[in-house]
Amino acid sequence: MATPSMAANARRDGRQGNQLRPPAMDLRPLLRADGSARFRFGDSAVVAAVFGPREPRSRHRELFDRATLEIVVRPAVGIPGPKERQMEAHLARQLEHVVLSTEYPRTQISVVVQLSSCDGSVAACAANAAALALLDAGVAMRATALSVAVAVKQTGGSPVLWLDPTAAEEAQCESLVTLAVDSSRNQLVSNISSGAALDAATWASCIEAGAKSCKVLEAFMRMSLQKRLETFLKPS
Amino acid sequence: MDAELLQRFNPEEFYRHFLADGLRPDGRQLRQSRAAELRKGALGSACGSASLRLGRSSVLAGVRAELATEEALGRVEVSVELPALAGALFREKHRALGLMSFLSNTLTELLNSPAVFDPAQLAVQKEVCWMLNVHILCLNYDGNAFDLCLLAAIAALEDTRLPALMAESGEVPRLAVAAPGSELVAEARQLALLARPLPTTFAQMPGGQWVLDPCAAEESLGASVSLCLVEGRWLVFHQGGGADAGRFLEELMPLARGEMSKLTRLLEN
Repeated sequence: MATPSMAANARRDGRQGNQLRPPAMDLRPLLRADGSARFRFGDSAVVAAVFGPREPRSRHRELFDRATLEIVVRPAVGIPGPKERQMEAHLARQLEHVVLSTEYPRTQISVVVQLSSCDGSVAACAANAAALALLDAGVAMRATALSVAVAVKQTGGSPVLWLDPTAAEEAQCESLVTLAVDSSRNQLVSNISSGAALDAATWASCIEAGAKSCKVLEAFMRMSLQKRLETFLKPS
Repeated sequence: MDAELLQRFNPEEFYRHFLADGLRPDGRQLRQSRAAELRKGALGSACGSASLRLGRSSVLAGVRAELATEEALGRVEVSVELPALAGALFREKHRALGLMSFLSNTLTELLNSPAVFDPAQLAVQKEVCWMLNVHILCLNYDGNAFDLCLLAAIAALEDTRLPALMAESGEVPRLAVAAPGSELVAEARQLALLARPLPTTFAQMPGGQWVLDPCAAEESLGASVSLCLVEGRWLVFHQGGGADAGRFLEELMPLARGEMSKLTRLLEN
């Protein structure tokens, strides 16, 4: 069987197959939230805000031994639909794993994710923004799980992988894999396939490519956070 | 401590005791699925229907066919409903809605994919075609919603027989379900899938072991992954938990492949 390749030729913006769009992050763009972050991959941008840990608004949300996580995803235009609800559920499962919720019993942590411009890999962007906002709010987490998307295009011979696809590239490709990786433990935190099914080897190379770029993304995040956290890191 | 108390207050420890012996609290082995019971044609009023039980989980699926005009191609629309009746877990609306949208979206996409379903069989005339609404209602929830809903949807679609049509004269001529003895425009026909997408779900236990066909208590302990095999290729839905991707490839995918013959037998009887 032909191995999946990361050919450069056909990408419209001239990127290599394994090249991310330039990521950008901005901590605390919103001043009234307990923590907030903006994350972008090229033209896809998402803002996330975290409120809490605080007292839950209703009693039945309160869990005696841990915090309740509430995720709200708002689309760029219009009212939330099934797609946003699915994203909410997915983020909730992922963040429940990442956040050390037993540290904050009987509280609620709300994460509000506002999609502000959608040009492909939106789910990955949203997950990254949410993770950064939680980091900014100082919520205890067991891992930094960052997220990327990989699109797979079936050509005659071997399938072609495109990392971090734009909306136009997503439309051209048959399948899309969105994954989150905890790079320090080298663990897959979540993986959602959509579109056509993939054979095992192609899926494995998607995961490998995704894991590599999550590492790169984490290094980038560390670099951008260094400035902000300097005051904390400096020995007194 | 009392076993029931331990299960409630420290489920991880409770499970660890069992897993050490290679068993699960309901008496199953780690790689053993629950008894499945499928009944096709469970509803008289739908074009096709099926009810499926998997241990204590049970769902009911019905297909309603509607004539649509000015649509180029027919489609399958799946909607999954998890009412509070099915389990206390869904009393919280927000949580239930998330799982419902995930299942509805994923199954709709899966059943409309060109490898699985040929929309040409829904065509009636130029610009008239059938739209299929698959409604899945969960009656009792005890884990493994993905397998349950997908298998029920497949069984209901395979049970579906589209009614014969006749032309109805009136102010606006239109098509209607044929009365006996009338002149037919389209014959009644049975639906068929090009390939069956077959699902297998695993949940991760505290010790890092994966168990097949998890019940609700096992799902709440950590990550779960649903693998769906479509014509020898995989769709992977893994949510909420750290896992080694290598184990998916080496351990879970061969196991899931081994389950296929059992699922095919279930759907074919």
